[in-house]
Amino acid sequence: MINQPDGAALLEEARRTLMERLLPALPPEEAYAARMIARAMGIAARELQQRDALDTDATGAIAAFLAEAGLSGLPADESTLGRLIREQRLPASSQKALPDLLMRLTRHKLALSNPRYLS
Amino acid sequence: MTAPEQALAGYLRRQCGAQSAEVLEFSRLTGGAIQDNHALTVRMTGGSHPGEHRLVVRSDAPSRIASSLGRVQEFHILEAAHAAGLTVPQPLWLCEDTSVLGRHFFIMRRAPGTSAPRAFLRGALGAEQARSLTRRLGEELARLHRVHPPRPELEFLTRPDAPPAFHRIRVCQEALRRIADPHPVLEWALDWLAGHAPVSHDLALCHCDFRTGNYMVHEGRLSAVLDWEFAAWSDPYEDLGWLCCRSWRFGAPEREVGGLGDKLDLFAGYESVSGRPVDARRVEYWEVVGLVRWAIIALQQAGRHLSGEEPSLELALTGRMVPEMEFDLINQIGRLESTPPEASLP
Repeated sequence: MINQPDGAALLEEARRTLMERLLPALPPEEAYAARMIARAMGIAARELQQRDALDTDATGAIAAFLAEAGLSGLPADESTLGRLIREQRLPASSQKALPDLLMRLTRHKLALSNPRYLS
Repeated sequence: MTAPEQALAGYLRRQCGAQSAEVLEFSRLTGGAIQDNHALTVRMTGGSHPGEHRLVVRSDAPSRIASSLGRVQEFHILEAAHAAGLTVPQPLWLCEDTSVLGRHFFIMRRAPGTSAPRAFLRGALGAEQARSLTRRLGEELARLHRVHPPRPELEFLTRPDAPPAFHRIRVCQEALRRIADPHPVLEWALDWLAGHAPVSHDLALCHCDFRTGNYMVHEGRLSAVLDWEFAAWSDPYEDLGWLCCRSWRFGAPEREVGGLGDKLDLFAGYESVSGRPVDARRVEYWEVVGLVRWAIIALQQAGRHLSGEEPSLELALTGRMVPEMEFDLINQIGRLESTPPEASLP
């Protein structure tokens, strides 16, 4: 059992302290480094909160896509997908659904790394 | 005077036949993971260059990206660009004698102004200034693209053995193979690029990193095109596509030319010098190339952190920017697929 507040909540609070209290007090040449630290903490916090659910959704979406393409025996992960695309082994019928799947996976990644890019 | 200052003063005295050379300023300039830049101000008496000179000393940095040119080659590129009439810092002296500074360096004039995008994007310039600067970027590129192979002084630049788009695709594919993590979006984009590549064999001298952040602006006008270390013989459209690529708009995505202006103005400037109409669709194709290329560079930068070769939060975070390029790739390819070629004019 993890004590409260959990890791994600601690990172968020630490990030807020960095941005609101420390950043204004830092010399201007250190502001960029402080913003990078805040960004890294934000990514880490979002991963703790959302990653499991996003990974589960991604695996399900890849599995459904592979089944539709008649390739259900393969592992439902990005390595498989990348290899099938590179080796041009996806049937023509699945080409239309591919961009939608890729966009879904990419949205998941952006939800962790930079959710503002999605807005 | 510090040891490098003394060495440079002595070098300039010999180079210019000066009676004296006094270093008034020698300080590190920002930027450059692959080269060191120092501002140098000297006052010389006698010889070929009497008076005060504001200069930049550009030398090889200890670490280097494999695909970039060294300073000796970059000096020759800069000379070719200067001779072609581009707005570049005038290249003055190249020193291949490593006993002076311990590595190769060249000296060029220091241009006034700044390359920091925030100083001239997002309303920092008036609308007319931004338009004329955008047009000017087109004129500059067209001037550069008048330089065609063969050029004996640029014989170190290899000529691609396939149409430039295919060459670039192959280089990206090979780089992607060397990256451990899977990147299905990049694989898919490379597949699309291969299926839509222009078969043009046009080759011209290309800057290959011509984007906002790599040119200087002074009082609203272009003062210098910088950073020539990725120059290559390529399809001239590669430079137009890289400049317009979604990744280099610095928070102003609606301004398609580097966050600064509109394609119509860029193309008008280009056409006024080249005398040939710009094919907007082909620019968009090369924007897709640009997104893939930048994504792979970002993965390589993250790789330098991951391998322990150069632990750095900045490099690590660059790797986490790749989904942004992938998002743009899916959208841009989708747009190109859904618009017929004749409807793509800006």
